[in-house]
Amino acid sequence: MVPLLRVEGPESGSVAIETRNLSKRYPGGVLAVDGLSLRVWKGEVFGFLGPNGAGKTTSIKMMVGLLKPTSGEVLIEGERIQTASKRVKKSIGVCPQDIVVWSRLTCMENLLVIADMYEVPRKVAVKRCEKLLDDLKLTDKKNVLTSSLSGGMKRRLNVAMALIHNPEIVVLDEPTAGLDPQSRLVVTEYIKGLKETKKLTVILTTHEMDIADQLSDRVAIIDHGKLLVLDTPENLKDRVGRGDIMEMALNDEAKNESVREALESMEGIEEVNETRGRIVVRALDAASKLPEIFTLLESMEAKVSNVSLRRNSLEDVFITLTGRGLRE
Amino acid sequence: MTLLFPVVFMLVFGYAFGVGGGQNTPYVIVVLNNDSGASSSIMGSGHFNFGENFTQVLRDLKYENSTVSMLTLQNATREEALKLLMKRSIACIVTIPNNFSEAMEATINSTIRTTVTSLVGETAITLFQQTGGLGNATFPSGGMNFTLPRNETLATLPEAENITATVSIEGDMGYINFGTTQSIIRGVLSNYIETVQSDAKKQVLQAVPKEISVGEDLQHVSVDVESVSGTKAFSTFDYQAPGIIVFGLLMGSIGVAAALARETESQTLSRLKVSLMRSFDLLFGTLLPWTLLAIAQLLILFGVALAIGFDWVGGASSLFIAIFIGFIAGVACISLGLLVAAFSRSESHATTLGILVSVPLSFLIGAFFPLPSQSEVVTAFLPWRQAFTALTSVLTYGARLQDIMPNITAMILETAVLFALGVIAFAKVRLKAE
Repeated sequence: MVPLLRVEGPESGSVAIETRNLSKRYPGGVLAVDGLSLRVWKGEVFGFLGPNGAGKTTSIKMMVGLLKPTSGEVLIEGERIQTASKRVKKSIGVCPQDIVVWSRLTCMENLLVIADMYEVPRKVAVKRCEKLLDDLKLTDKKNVLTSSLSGGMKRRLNVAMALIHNPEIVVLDEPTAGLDPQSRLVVTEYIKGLKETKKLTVILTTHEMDIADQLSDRVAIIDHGKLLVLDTPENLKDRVGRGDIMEMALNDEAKNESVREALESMEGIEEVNETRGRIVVRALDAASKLPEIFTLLESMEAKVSNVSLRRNSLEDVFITLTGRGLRE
Repeated sequence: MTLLFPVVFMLVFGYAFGVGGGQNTPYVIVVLNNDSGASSSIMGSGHFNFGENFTQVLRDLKYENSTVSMLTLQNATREEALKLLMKRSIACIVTIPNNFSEAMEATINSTIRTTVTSLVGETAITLFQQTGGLGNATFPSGGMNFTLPRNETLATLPEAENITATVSIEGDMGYINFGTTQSIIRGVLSNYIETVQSDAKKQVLQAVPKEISVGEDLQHVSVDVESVSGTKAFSTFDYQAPGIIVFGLLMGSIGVAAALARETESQTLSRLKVSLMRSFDLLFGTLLPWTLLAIAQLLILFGVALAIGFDWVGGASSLFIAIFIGFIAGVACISLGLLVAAFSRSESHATTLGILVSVPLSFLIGAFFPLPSQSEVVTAFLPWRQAFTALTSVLTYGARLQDIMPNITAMILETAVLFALGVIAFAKVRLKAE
């Protein structure tokens, strides 16, 4: 694991949510969140990443007031969440990780129930429902019982229910989990829209690094309940290592070690690792280095069976920080 | 919970059927002795009263191998006794007719005559009496002494007069204590008559020691078991129906608990918790549809009861009052459901817990079996007990609305307290941050 560079990201704007030394210890002694301190700026998309069991959902639940912290506090626009005013409570919309809809109600009815709970006038609520259903491509399912919707449709409705009262802060816990490519595209485009047109503050947890990379202004990675890093995706990728990633497999794996050592001594190569029988090379402008690398391999009589080249990603940051071991 | 359920169920049934207690308790009855007694040479010169004697026999009756009396005789007039019967304060009324002693005397006479004629034959009766007959035999029977005549003519040998007396046992056919006591009293009376007859035969046989086969005795005393006036047409079901209705409503509380627990389990409750919803909104919102459902349940319960032949007292007005009582009981059941839901983590948990609470409650309020009067001190605080009492009073005994106002008032107060408890418990346990 690389050493932590810094935890605080760039300071800008006013604070939407702040957690101060937030900890949660469950009955039985499991410390799910350990001293989490961070600030989410108004109008930013805040990506919250971590492996399974890292404490993301527990942190989110404490942020929205569903869980009581063992210690520390959560401030929403300066008010403690546990004693927050009606105005502050109304400013938060929550899309839980699980699909939480009333299966015996239609899409429209589900949205209207939540609108009622946030005291949205009925006429306004109906208009918003129609707009949300249209934006999330559910208009034709408006009067269909949610029990007969597909998983992707239910998840889109799940997102819509978090937005019916026009919140200023939206917490989306794994909004794209288990979605087909079409639904995934609809949801990601919609989240982009929230950021660009509505200027909402979005807290997003996801396992999909490309979505986090694509949507987030800043990303926090937590593991074992602790915040590891918090920065913009670009800065995070730079911290782990700038450049592109080239992965290759040799016909003869016995030559991996000698090839790795030879590559390490090449100019312009940042890092070389061997993972699961493959040689992983990180280099600035790796494409321009390819002829030189292949010449070296030829001189060593090492034949390449497979090679791929890609840009450095958040996934590399994530894996570097949290390790390759499977969780749960 | 699953393991606890059969344990509690067994305990409740065991208690209902009196297991484990090991204590015999006397049944309270009223004996109305109308016997005017009789005067006869066979009983000596004095006036005698078999009715008093039989009453004393009932009073002295003890449980086997115990000093505990089987029956407690309460003093009351017939009117008072009928009222006590209505309230099930007594198990039955035993009425001894005014000619009971005469009938008993006729029983003795016919026994003597049957025995003597079996010994010597009707034609040899005169000769039998001239030779001294039975002598001065004294018959101790049930504390009564009577003496056979000596050196009399055939005409003075007791005649088997055509007198019959009927001991009446009245009670509530749907009351288990009535079933028990009427059976005891019939047995005691039968035994009493047999003892008197047996004593008479013994004395005759002592005077004329000969192996004989004694003929059939004539029956002069019989027993008539009656249901209380005005309830003759009632079946056991008619008496059980109020209890079944309350039981049915109590089962509804399981549905309420399960529905609310489903909200917890499916996390829709979490979604509501982060909104502006107050606990009262949720619980009052739950109360409304379930109240409608309870009314529907109630109407169905009555409808089905009527369809299968439920008979009640007081016509349509009684039925309307009963539906009103059932409505309040229904609200009490929903409140109970809220309370159960507060302590349930899932739908299945709520169902099990709901059964665990509502089934024993049905027994505790006496919906199926009468409970000891001491238990009323506790169960009076349960709205369903009040509902059961009020429904029984209206449907079975024809009570008017003003008669059951104390029950209705208690029910409303107890239901309000229960609802408040349900709201507080649910809000504290389920609607606060975990």
